[in-house]
Amino acid sequence: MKTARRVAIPLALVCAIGFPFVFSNPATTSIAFFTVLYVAAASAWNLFSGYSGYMALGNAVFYGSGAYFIANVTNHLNLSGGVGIFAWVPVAGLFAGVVAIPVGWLALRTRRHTFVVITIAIFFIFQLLAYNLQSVTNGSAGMQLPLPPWLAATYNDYFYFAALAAAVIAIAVSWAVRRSHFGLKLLAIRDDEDRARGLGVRTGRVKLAAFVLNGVLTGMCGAIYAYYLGSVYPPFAFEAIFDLTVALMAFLGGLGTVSGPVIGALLLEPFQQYLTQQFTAAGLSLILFGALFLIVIGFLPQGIVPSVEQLYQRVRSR
Amino acid sequence: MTALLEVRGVSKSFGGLRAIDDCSFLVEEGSIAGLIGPNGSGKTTMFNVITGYERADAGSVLLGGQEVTNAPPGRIASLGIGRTFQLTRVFSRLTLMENLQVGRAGVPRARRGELYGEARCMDLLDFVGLADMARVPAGTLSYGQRKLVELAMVLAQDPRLVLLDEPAGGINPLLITQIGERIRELNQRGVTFLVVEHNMEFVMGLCDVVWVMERGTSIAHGEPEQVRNDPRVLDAYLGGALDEDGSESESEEAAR
Repeated sequence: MKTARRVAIPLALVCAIGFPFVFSNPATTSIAFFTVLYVAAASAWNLFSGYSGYMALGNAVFYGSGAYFIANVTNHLNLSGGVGIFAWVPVAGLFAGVVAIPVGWLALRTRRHTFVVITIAIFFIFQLLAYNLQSVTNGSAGMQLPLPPWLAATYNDYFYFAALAAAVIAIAVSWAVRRSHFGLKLLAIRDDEDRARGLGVRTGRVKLAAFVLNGVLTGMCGAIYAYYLGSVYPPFAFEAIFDLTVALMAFLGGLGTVSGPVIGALLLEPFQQYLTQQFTAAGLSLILFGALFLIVIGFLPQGIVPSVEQLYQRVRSR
Repeated sequence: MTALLEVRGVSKSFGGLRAIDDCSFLVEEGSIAGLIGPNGSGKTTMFNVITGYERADAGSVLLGGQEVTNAPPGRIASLGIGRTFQLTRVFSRLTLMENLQVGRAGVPRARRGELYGEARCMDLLDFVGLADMARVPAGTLSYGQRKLVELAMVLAQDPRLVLLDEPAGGINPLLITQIGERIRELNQRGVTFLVVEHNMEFVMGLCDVVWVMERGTSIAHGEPEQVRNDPRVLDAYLGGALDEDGSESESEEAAR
């Protein structure tokens, strides 16, 4: 397993970096951009929800916060389009992390179903704020971001590499957390929170730290997304489908594993993009997506990675 | 000998029910104390109050003379009281090794390396006879084995006092003997124990002192022989004489 990993990881990275040079068609690189962006976003979601067992369905709060942050910064500083804008992506992430502190402080007082409902409620509050806080968001009229001076043929590539960088960071952080004692505490909370407390784990702090980390990484994704679109509107920045998509990806790949959300995003996002391109009208893609969610929960409750691992163990022990 | 744990006049109600009613007892340093009583007499609630899982309405709990009443569970753990649970509470999807290492958070920073090194955790698993299952998820173990894991988890924190909630309940006789041996061995190394147990044979054979609870308060205490023949205990707790072999019918009921 270990040697396989030593080969697979650099190979995957080389493939990811080489991809836009081989498949340079903008239609393809657009799908590739979204796929890599969702690898990052799903890994971020999994870092908190997958490890701690707290199913947050309001990650779009941070996605939108990152998007509006970068829109405000570029507008107020009168920045012109270019690679330099990407320097603000980590800052947008930090801003989303700051937003995550009160949100987490509030939501994490509850558990299980209540927590899920609270995160959804907070998400709608933020969407409502985006419509109504005219001075910061310009309401439903939306905000424009500076237009990059790049040619159409390679336009997507810049965003692709920015998203890839975010994905690598999100995966690396997930991996580091999984191996650390901090990660062990999160997993202990997932299995039995009160018992973990009894053993001296400061569960409140641990949960909040992971929640904020998730917020930072998701906010970075939102900022890249906003710059890619060139504009920010409340329903795109604070999108309910985003909340579900990242969760579904992690579920499909394997909740609480490092590679699970990556595999889930690699499979689902191109599929979703294809569906939206094929069935633009009537929201058919959404219905198919919902059906897929049910199938995954019903037949692969553990996700792909744990199932394959078990199969591998069984074959080896024979 | 001095009292390591002292419970003074503790009361705890749930709604209209007085689960513990002005209960006092003490556990001497270096001893193995038993806490017995019929179902619903407040033993587990008492454990929950001592370890901070429930708040006492009145009274106080002292550890080595220091007031620890109503301190949160994590603080109780770091002060040196470890406990196991009647229905075991292991982290089912973590490996045994990981289960042990969770407790690392509950000891002072300076001692973490010493207590939670891979080698020491392995020794502890070996001590409870589960070393070869160190990389197995705890959820796959039997109930009795999980009790042993819990014991190892508690021992990892190097506690002064260990509270065991029915260590022999619902597990096979061979494991009961093994658990008893381990407790005695640890006691010789200086660990103090307070044991709630329905298996009278186990309690009488293991404990130096036995406290009897009934209706939320302690009604008698003494050496096992003494308690066994105390008319108040026979009358109030057992409602009759003990069986020949020292067990009573309730133990089977509790084991289920």
